[in-house]
Amino acid sequence: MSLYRSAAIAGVAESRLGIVGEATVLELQAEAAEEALAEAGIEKSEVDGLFCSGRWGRTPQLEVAEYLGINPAYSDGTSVGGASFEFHLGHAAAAIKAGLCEVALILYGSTQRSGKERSLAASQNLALQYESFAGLPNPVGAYALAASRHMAVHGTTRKDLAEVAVAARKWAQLNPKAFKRDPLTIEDVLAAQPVAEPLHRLDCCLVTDGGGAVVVVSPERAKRLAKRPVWLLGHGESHSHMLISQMPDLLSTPARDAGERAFAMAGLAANDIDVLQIYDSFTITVLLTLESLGFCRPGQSAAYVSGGRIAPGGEVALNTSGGGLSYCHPGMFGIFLIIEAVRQLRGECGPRQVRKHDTALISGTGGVFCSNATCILAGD
Amino acid sequence: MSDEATQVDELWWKGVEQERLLFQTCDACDAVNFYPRIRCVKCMSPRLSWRESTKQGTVYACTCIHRAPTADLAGEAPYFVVLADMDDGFRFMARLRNGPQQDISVGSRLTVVFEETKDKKIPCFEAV
Repeated sequence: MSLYRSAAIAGVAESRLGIVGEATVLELQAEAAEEALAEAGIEKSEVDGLFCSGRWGRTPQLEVAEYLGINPAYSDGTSVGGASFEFHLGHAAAAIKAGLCEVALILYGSTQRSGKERSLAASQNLALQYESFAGLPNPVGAYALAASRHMAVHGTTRKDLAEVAVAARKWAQLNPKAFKRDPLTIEDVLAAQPVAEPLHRLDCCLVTDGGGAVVVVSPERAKRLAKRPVWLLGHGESHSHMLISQMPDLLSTPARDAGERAFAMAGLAANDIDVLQIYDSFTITVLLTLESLGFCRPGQSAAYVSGGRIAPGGEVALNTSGGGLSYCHPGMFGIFLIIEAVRQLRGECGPRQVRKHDTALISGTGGVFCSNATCILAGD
Repeated sequence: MSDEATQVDELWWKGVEQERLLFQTCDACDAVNFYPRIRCVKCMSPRLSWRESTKQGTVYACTCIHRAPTADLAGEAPYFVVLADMDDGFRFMARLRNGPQQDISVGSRLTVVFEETKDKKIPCFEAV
């Protein structure tokens, strides 16, 4: 079954971001849901599909639905790390195409920065017992291992990684909602404290609070919206492991399979994409995902991002919000990739608006390169 | 976790206690299984045999950790964590013993040794 143009995004919104003080995860999701439905011109009573994931509870769908007063006919809590929301977008389109729901709400909220979120410790007695004694801090240590491998095989340097962080900051300086907007240089990134070498402090995403919401509707419902719809052209997903020690090849991520499926469904190729939103949990995540998606050949991602090519004014419009590195990162960033892509396709991004914005690719990575879902979107 | 799975895990940790690094091979399809399982990861056969590793391997990837994940390890930092391709055909993660002064990089040869910690004996790597 192809999901090509089987569903449209009708509304997107963030909650308050950054450090939200007294707000709870439910309050943040309520804020985002209200704003996303309002910009879509859809009443809450129309929502019949619910998609959410969060590390703050055992049954997040039940808690969110009860709090918002939603009684879904279709409910999906796929939880595969920060990419969950790109999985949800495809699953929502599939449910809509099958006629199981017509208005789907994708939600996320986290108060990890302010620390009022329950933390569910990893289950030490399952597979993790074969790794945890090694003393690897997760997830940063796993990404550091991949970076070390990329450096050894391809000669990538810390300066190449720093290009990603500096470009993200330059985009963030154009985004009033971004958490970090002070100037950042390559030298600053290189001089930052080491965390898990070769990754240093500024190679790592932010720790913020925040929430988001995305409203997905059927083509029929998309005829009556407050804003022009954004169409799903292609979607692909994949996951390959849970532990980094079980990842078959640290330089080839599940984005390879997910991206192939998404491009095939959309009938497009990498050079047809105007705007890229690629999960930047760490600088290395962007490099490996670009290679796995085929935007460049294996080993060529350092050259692809070099010399400000992915910064504002560069040849590639990538992570135009400032990304998880500079805009926000409330534990899981996937929903914010969708929000920024939709705003770019609608031409709503003000000083950071990309001139050519007909198509966008979103690539969410979850866990330690465990999962990926890639979505290709187009404006109306 | 089922009782059977617990037994697989217990057997592996008993090996560590005896300073043996265990893995499995499948009698049906020859696949190397690590971590150990109750059904073959490749073909689902229950006929898995325990093998003892030669404990020799090559660095596949490595990172020097400055922020340890636990209070117990904080005193050890900075230390290397290594992902190694073992000569027996499985990939294995462990900490490098003796801190970062050992000069290792991708391609370096390693051997597995065992170290007492507060809770239990664990495998570590040592540069060859």
